[in-house]
Amino acid sequence: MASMGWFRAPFASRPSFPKSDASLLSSPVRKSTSRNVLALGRLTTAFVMISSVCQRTTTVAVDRSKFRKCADTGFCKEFRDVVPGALPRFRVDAASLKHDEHAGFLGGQLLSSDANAKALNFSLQFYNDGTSRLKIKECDPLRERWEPPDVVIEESLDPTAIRVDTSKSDGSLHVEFANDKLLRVQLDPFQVDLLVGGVPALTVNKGGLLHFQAYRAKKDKANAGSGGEESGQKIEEEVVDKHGGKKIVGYWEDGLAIYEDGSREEKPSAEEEAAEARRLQEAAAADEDKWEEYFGGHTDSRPHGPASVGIDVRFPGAEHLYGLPEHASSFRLKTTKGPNAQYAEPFRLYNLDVFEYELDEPMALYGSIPFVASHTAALSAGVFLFNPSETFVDVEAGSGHGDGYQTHWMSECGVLDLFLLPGPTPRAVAKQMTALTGTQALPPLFSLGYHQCRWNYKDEKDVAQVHGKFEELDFPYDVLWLDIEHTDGKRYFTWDQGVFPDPVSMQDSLAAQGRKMVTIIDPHIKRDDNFAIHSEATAKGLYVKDKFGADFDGFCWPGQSSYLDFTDAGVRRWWAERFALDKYTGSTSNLYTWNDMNEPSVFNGPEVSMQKDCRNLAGVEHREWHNLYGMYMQRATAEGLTLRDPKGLERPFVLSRAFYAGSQRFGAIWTGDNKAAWEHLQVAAPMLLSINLAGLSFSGADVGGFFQDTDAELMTRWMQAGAFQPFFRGHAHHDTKRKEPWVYGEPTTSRIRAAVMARYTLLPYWYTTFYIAYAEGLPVMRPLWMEYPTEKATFDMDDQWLIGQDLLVKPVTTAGATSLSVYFPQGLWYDIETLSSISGPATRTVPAPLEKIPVYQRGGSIIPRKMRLRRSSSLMTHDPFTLVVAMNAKGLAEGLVYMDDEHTLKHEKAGEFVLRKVTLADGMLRNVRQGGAEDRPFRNQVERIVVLGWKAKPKAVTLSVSEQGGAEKQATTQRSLEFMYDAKKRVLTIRKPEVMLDEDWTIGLR
Amino acid sequence: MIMRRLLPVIVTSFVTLSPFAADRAPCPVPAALHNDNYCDDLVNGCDEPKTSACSMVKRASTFACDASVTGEPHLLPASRVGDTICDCCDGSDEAPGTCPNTCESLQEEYLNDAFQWYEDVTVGKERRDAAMAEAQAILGGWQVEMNKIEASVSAHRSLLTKLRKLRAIEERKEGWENFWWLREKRRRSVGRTRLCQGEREGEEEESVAAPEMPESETEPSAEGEKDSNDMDAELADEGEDQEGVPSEGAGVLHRVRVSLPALEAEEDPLLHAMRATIATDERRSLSLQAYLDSDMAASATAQAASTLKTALAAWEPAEVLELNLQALGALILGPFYMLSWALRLCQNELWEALGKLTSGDKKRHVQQGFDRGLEGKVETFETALSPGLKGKLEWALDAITQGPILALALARPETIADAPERLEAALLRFAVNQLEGQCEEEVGRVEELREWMEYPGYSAEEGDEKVYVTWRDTCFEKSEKTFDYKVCPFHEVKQDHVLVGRWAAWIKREDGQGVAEGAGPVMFFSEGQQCWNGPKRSAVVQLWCGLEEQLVEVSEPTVCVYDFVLMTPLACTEAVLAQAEERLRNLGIKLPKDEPSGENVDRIKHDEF
Repeated sequence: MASMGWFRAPFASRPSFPKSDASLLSSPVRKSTSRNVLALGRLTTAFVMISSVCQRTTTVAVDRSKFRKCADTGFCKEFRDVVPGALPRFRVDAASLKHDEHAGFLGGQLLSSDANAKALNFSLQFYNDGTSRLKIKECDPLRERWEPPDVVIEESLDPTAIRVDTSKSDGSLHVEFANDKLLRVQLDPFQVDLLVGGVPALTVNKGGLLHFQAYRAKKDKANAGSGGEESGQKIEEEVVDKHGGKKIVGYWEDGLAIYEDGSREEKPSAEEEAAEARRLQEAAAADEDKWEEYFGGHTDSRPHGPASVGIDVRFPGAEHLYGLPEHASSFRLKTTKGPNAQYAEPFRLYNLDVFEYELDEPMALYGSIPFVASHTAALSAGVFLFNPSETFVDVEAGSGHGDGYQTHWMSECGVLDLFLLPGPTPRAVAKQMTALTGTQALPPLFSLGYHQCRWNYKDEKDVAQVHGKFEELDFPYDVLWLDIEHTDGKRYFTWDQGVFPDPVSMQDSLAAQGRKMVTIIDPHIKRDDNFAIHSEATAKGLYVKDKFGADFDGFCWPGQSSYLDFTDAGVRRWWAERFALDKYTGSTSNLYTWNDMNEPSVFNGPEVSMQKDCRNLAGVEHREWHNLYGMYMQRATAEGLTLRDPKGLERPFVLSRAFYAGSQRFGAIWTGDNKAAWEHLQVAAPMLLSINLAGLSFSGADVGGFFQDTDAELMTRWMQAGAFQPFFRGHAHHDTKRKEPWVYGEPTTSRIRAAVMARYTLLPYWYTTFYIAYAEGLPVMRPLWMEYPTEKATFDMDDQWLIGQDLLVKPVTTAGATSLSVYFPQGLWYDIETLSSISGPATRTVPAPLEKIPVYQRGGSIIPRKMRLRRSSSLMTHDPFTLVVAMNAKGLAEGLVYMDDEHTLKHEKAGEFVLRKVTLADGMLRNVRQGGAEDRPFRNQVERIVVLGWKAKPKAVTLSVSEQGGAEKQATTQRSLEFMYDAKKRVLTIRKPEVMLDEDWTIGLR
Repeated sequence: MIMRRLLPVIVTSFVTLSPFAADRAPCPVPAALHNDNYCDDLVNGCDEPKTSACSMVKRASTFACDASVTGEPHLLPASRVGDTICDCCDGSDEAPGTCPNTCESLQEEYLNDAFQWYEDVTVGKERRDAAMAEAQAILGGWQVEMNKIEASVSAHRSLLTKLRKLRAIEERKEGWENFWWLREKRRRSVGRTRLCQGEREGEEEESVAAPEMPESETEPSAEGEKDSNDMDAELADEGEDQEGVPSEGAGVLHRVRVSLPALEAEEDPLLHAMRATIATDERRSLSLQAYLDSDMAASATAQAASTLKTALAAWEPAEVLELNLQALGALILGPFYMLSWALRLCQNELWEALGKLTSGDKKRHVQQGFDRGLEGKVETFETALSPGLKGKLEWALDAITQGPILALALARPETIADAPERLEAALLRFAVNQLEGQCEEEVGRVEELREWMEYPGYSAEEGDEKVYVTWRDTCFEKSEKTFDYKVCPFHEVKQDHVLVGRWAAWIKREDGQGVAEGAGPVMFFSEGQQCWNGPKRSAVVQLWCGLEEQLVEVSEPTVCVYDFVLMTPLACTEAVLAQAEERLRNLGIKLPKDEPSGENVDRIKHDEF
């Protein structure tokens, strides 16, 4: 009765798919009934079709419903679309005005047209570099507003004397300061105009959008606070029902619950969400005072009620605005308001862990810098709103040509503290910005090399194999990274003994070849009483508190976790001590740190973060310091790494995901969890340009993309682009195929190796450029218009950039490309590989086969390189330099070379560094000391000087070295040098000058 | 036996290293400029073999250490020269005085290692040779078995052809018998209905009663069957006697008993089937042998014709008309039955949906229809689905002669379900089924054997002579921390009960792995179970020359891609041995085979130290 057999087989199994598949294969179908097998085949086909219809489909994309929009956010909803003139007007109370010309101060009171509103205090402070600061606070506040004391470096701000002219008849007073700057304060209505050299650069409150929600007492409800808490609890309890009584054992990064039985929460349907939203809105409507706020199943009790601040800033005449990192958007800011707005939502600044973020969005991401720069051919300017609470910014084009752009800033709480940066050049704006929050810390040289990361290298053997493969391929790299799985159950500062039994030997074996290791240390501390960090933090009371005052308890990688209060200096000190070599077991001085998830990410919190009504140890609500949390953590970690050295002189290296203005002082950041897609490769450049412009130079994107598999072409192109971006790390999600440089086989491995080698040959230039960022506050990765401010073609450009001043980079970021169009600004440009030159301004199509990285050296520059391959950057320390002298049309060139010990703070604390300036003019190549120590500890030779654009073969090349001291030429030795001349390429190569870079010399070319 | 470990002296070499000038054009740089720590040849870096100056050029030069412990030059990438790391055992890659000389101890370690390796490989090679002999024996055994089966298959096939013909004839007869039986049954029941309902309805009642069967028939139960008619009663006790078979809805097939004689060893299954006896009851039984021996078989064809004739003659025109009407009805009803079939196929979703649409009673009725009397329907579908013109023609013949009955059976399964089986037909069905099964098994086995014998995969590389056939029924297991792994070559790889991959092919070793000594071929298993949110699992099994057969390592370098290391003497090939010998020769050791005197290697080793 075989017929019964086949008849029953499919029926016996349920059509839930994977199961039925298995049971079909295992069902006892006898070979003897081949006809039945045929029939079975047909049935199976039908079966597959039916069950695939029954299955749910899932998509891979950001879950937008989880993140608030302006309309979901009380203060943004209330003030974004306010009709002009609808807000109360402010006027300066002339009687209250006072100023101090010597101290550069002007202040007074602002009175509102709303008679019930309290008066506001405003102050204007003027600084030496032309920056002025407008600060507005409540006169007589119900409670003091929190201001972080250590983000803007007050002590480094240099007040300038001003001249105040109160004699103007137009109802305004004029403040002249810093040479050509003029600030006009209009009294009624209150408005501030900044003019630079007579040209209007910035106008504040012209739109009358200044608002200041003063703290008020909660009406009638005697037990206001507890009332809010009760209703909050109620809503949270109801929300629990959506889990169908299943026990939650954890949450995933997408914010959805993981249940005890191993199943996972389904994303709620649109209707369910709409119903939920309605329910919450009804609850919110009942709260007339708008005291509480509801979103996504969470209640913000907002114990002090609404307290938002806002203001508008106009950029007269400007059409190009940049800034507001971090957004996965174009470099030039798109408009969010007005008739032709490109985005419907304002730019949002609220550090968030956005799972699978999408591109071309004003949605918030991991970091926030409330900074906008404007640029026109004539004038650049900028504003920085120093407010670390959640901030929305609208960008709107003026109604007519030349009307300029308007920005509208709305912050949830805090004070209005607005810095007006007058420019007038892009470089000046960048310097003025970094003057406020600090310049880029000079990274240890190794961190500028290639970093190899993956979630996760599984065990010591895996590490040894990856390391071994680099060795075998003679492939340079500096740092190998370990993600969360290296720990014992996500308890940071520990090792999974099963797979990393001997971490010290492992680090030592890397260090034997000059390599370093980085381990991840996240801010969420596993709530496990046997975990020393947790028990000590609990005992000492170092955790952020929830609204009830208990240690906040949220879900992250380890499960239930608490979060240290990094805003507290004491906690930071305690944290820093955890990194001591005897406290962090298994660490060595070659181990550095990665702070991930520090937005902070809380899987079961609102928007995958912490409740806003949590409090720090000082009792300040999370809403006030949210955007600073990640920076404070990175700071504490960096301090900890420095503390490991008994002398406190070793430079730290800490990578952070969250950031704020000033993060550049503490290490590097990266653009978070991107995807292996060409669009993500493309968006990396605008994102990094924006972050760099805001002062944070040491930044990069995961090379190859984090999520999903990467093919050989994308990996090749991404490596090529990454090699010319400041932070250069390959990384991959654990569900992806391996992405190490060799997994694609030849010729891909060789192409990738060539890209990484190109990075290493240019390390001296990168290091010098970072020094300039450190010393002068100029970004490492610059938009073209920063150096060519009058070339309008560059204003919209974000697919090519400059490294420092002298390298023009335009990587290929499209699939299948064999050529691409490059814009060359004014001057001569030399292809760094072929040495052929192109004269700008011009747009040229250049060949770009898979092995080509279009990078060009500026005519007029001298770039130091080290043309010897080593396993790691530290093994290059003593290698000789090659100087590439690229002449401009006038036959001139100059460049800087910075040298120090490459890993300590002695450059800063003891002045142990040297800055050399090499110039070519009138056939004389001169090397002189530009700064730093006079003794010469750096004995690197110059092995080769390549002069590009030299027009005819010289008769002789003569070296003159001045003897010790070198102040006068009385004791010089002269030597003629060997050289080669390529007449076709016009390249003169001076062979083995056998001089040190760190000594004065002159080479005459005749 | 641990996995082959390579000495550090070899690990540091760059895979594409080749001694300078071995594959390059003459160096265009004047000799005076060689090794002056300045790279003049920026294309090939030929002028600086002793410095790092040309390390950055595309085809970097290589550096040869002054000393080498392997007997071959110890080559380094130029990037290693003067980088403060001592790569050469004599320190010749660094400035003088930088490095201690470690050549002596390294030399000893290396020599010991080379000897040990040589000895291991020699033994491994012997084991491999033994396995090759075993493989030949297995292949030879298959050939013998195949020849034997092929001989019996042809005999079975010719008998099968004959039996199929007879079966068709007997089944046609059976069809008509069933029809007569049904006709008789209906007559009786109609008569009884008349009796029960009295004279009121009279003649009209017959046409109304015909399509819908009496209550006792639609709800067939043990009692219903018994009291339904005499013909059933005749067999009722038999039905109840069936062990463990419920009489309800089980159909007449259960009333036919098959008795099989005990199968003796070495007996031809055909003989066995021939002797099987089929019986309806004690009175009537028949064995295939008896049937074939009697003239029943011979006269079957003639009988079939006469039965048809008799049947047609006995028909009344009204009956023919009614029968055709019923057939028409069946054709109309057919699609709905097909639909309910489909419902059964997706029963969990669609059946529930139907349940919601239909009332409880109807649902139960439909359900019951499927629970019994299905064999007839199944046969019909099966026949229709069978390929080939001949099959379709046979089906057409059956459709013409038995169509009305089958149609009726389809439309009203309960009416035909209890019809008695014709003994000869049942016997032939049984015999054909048995023989078909037998034949297909034999043919399958032959195909299988042929596939195995011709399968090229039992040789991983040239010279293997299908040695891996010895692994056909072997599995290798390894328990790790949390999982038990099982690698069955040419079959599958499992992690506990999860299928990691099915055998796919031998693949090439990745770049660079070939440098290591003792590296054997690599097995690839693909199309394993899909990972959650990931790809399908797959596995790579690297074979390495070793004395014992053992799975020594399991890793998952990329999520859901498993990497196994399997030590086996089968990978100790001639080439591996030659490599091991070469290593010794490079060290200046003379091997026994190199010397006519046949001196023992151990003695040489002893002499060396």
